[in-house]
Amino acid sequence: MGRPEAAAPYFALDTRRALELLDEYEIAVHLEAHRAALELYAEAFLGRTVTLHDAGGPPGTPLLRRGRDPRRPPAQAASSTDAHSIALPPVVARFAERGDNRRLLRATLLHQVGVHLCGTHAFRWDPGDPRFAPTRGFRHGEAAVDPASRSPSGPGFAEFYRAFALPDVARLCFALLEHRRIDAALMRRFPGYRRDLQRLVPALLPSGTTLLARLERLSLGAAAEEGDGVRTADRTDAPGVEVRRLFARVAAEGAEVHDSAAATVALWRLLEANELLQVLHREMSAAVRDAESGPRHASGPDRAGDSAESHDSVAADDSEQAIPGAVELSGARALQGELREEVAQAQADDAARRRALDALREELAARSATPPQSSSLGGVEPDRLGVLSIQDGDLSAAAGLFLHDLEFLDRASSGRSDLDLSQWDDSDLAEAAERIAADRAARREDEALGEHEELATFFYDEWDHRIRDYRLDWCRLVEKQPVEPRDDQRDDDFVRRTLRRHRTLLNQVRRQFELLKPDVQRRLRGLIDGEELDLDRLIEAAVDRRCGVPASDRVYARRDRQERSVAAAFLIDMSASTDTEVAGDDDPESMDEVMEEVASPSADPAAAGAATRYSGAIDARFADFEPRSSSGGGAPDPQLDAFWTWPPPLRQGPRKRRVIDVEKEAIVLMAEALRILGDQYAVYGFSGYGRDANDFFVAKEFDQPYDRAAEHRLAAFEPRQSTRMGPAIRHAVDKLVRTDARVKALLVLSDGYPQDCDYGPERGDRTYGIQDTMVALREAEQRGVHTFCITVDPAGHDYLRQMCPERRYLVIDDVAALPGELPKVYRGVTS
Amino acid sequence: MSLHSPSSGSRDGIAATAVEPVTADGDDTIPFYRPIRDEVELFLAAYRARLPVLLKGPTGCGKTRFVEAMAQRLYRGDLASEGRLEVAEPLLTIACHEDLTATDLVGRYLLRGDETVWIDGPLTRSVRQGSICYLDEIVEARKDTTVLIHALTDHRRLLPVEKRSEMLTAHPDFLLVLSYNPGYQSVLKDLKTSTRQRFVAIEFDYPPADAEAEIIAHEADIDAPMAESLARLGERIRALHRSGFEDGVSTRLLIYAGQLIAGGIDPVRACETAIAQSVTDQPDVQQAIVDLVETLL
Repeated sequence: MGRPEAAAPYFALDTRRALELLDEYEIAVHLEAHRAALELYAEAFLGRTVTLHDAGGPPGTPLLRRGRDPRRPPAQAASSTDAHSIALPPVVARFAERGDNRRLLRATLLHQVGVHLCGTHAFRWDPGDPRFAPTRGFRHGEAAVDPASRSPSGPGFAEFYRAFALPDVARLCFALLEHRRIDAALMRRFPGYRRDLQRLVPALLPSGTTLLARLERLSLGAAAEEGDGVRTADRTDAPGVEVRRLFARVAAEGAEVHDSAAATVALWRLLEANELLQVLHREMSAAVRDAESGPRHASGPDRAGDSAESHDSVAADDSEQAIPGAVELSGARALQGELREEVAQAQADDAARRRALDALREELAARSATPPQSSSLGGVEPDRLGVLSIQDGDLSAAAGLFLHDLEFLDRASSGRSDLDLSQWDDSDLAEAAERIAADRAARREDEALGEHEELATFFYDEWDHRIRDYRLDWCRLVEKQPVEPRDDQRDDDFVRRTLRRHRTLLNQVRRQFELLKPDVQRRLRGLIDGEELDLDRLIEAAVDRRCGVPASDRVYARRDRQERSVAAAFLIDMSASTDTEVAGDDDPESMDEVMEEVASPSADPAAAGAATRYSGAIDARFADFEPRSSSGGGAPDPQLDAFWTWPPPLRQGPRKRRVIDVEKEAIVLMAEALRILGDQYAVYGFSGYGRDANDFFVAKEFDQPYDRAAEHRLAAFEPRQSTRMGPAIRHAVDKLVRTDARVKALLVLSDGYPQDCDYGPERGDRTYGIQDTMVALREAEQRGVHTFCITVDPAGHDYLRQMCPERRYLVIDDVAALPGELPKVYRGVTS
Repeated sequence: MSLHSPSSGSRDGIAATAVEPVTADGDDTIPFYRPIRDEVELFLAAYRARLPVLLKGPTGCGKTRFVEAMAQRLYRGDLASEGRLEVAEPLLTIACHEDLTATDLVGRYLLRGDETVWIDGPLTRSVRQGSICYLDEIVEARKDTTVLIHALTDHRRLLPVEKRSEMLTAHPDFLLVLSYNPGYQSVLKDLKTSTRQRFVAIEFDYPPADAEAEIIAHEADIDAPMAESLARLGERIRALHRSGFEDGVSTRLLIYAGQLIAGGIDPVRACETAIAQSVTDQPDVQQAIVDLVETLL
């Protein structure tokens, strides 16, 4: 791999192989590699879908590019309102053993899950509760500033913290205690968690002698055993004993979040009485500053073992030099992560959430006069506290998070399709976005072609042949369903016109499919009982008996009807090139069909069949027949009557048929024929522009009936943009695999090369797209889906041979032959 | 196996018709069954009125065990009547599969030497002697099979034995029980309305954790805390609705894990073998289950 174009994505960890290798050789554990398993793990506890994102950026961001961009919506925006979203460190490399790093990652996750399990969100602050009795620093009156407007269920954390003179210190105290409570509760419930912590915590314990480090040790539950209480240099140990007692209280069985809050008040008073509040505040600020300044806080192998170093030499009360303590802050956080109690609370309040958000938004607007970071942490940007998403103490950080959330939801729910995903997907998208921006105007124009309802968004890997690896989650695919057109715009005529045009063909296909229908009968021979005798075996048995040998009694045979179990997906190329007109083919009715109409005016299928057989002869005889002058003969036929009103009402005169029309006609014909077989089938169209905008149109799903609405949706398929086949194939295969049919088939109808603006290093490069399509087709075969590509490109042979499995493709140089060929192909593929 | 005909099971062509009466060896103990709701009362009431019963529920949640226990009580245990004590096979279980034909159920003529011999199928035997006939996973059977039971399940209680031109009237003690797993079968394989509306449907599900712990402790013969952990594990895994295994982990598998543990296997390893590998082939899901096991046990 000496080529830079291959090396770049590899070292950017954009490729699957690179990540796998990394995961294999490294002691460090990457969230990305364990995300799927851990999401399930968390879901098992919470009973709801859980999204894990790393604290450095939104999901899918390549590891080395994960900077935290405050302008970007946080990852929560990507998950739905009721889904849990949990932030985890992207890399865990604290221990020298990979297993321990994995354990730490899992324990961190379970601790975060514990915030939900242990009822942190249930906290409602009752200022009148005697346990929260006012103290000197307890600003009772101020706190109650219109509390009801903040949270629908009453005052919560924010009000509680603001009741203290130093809200961020109060928050820290509460977090330390609440972490302890959660850990203790989880350890009681889950023996494995206890084992993990016993193994991990000794190495995680901050070793500084600062007050903060001591409190963190208590929070991690270790100090009590070691007898290392909170003790400042010149004082007696009495406060230390008291503090230990508080931590023990929240760790006791049955402790709730309110006990943590009560203990917070008690701890606050204790610190206040010993004049330690300012000390703690200084230490905190120093820790935050330190975390902000140092690149050394990036988790990496070089950090392993760091935490074990002793910093005892640092004077406890010298807060200016308490930087090592700050290092330890992120150390303790490595296990417990950030206590996102407001988030938990808001998530618990789904119904009332919006009102709460509005309140936050108002507050933020009110605050906007002052710099957003100036509030409680004294100019410190909480977002950058460390490798974890620490939003310590600053309410506005949490508020901003919700605001993004809200805004995102607003945008998403209003169904605007120009939602700029490059903003929160892979930052590399920015590059593509620039390229795409130039064409965006054209795209908008194109959007106007038809209204579509977006159903869902998916991400698919893409094969890059240059690096011989997959690019992860490279393509974004949006599933869309054409919106039912208004009555006056609806092309009601399309299906009827098609059926009339291909009446001959339809009858042929129907007859062929009729033969398929009874299907393969499996003849079981050598049975001891059955519907008929198996002559060969009977004779054998008779001979045996004559010879005096014991004769076999297995002389019966039985026919077993094998039920057809087929699911087929038709994937239609809707690229701009399908707008090409089909040469020498006027729309809609050619004289041949006119002849047939005349020859078989009756609806009687038998007569129609007979007429079909002789159509050739009739064609010749009526060569100069003039339709308008004919009465048609026989009984009046409404269809025929409609036919005579020529031209059709929607059209401004005859128009050339385009490739896409032929594709659609082929599908209409198939749909008719498939009524006979009863196979499950789905009809999809695809097109797109760029890897972030693959459109996947659904005309009919497997479980949807082929009704008027489906016909209309199919009729609404129009030429659009490019042909990026890979994601469309992968998506269709995903859907096929979910059906329970024994035989699964994917039929791709296209008109040329797979190509897209960024399907390969440069626009003209076809190899990339062909290779990706080839791999996508191979994946399909591996997943038990038979594939077949039909292309109407006269020059198609070269690349189809390269792309498709042998004898799994067909090149049609005469587009008009497609409707006739498709059923043949279908029979071949599915039987 | 107690189908006494020479044709039982071993003959190819006719896929094995598994018939397993509980008391083939004359063991009269009632199989362990821990009632979860009112299913026992419902079943006994249905039996008194001779109403056919449909047991709905996911795989491995105890449907078969339930029928076995009921049959044992009714034919051998506390509720046995004089007549029912005489019945040789109180319960005839037939595991349905897609090649199961009406003939397999009703009976057939077999060639033996120079003559043909009629052999009753399990359903016919059950109808004659008045036992409980249990068709397990009925939707798997061919459609003609389900129609066959129609006349048996209404007031007529008749079994047409076509090949012998015989209308067999069911013994007064005969009862038909079907089981059916609504979860994993597709829409295509649903029970016909005309069939399902002939049955009283009793719904089963995996038991709540404490009841399940009791069951696991009893069946696997392990101590209560371990059984409790296994039950909690089951509960967690079942919370994973998405990702390919909608049925979750069955009580049966949890018991298997318990039995491995009782056999001296390390609990984590036992769960990995009996649960993680059994419920799914997806590595991510397996890993998630292993993580759960390591946390909960």
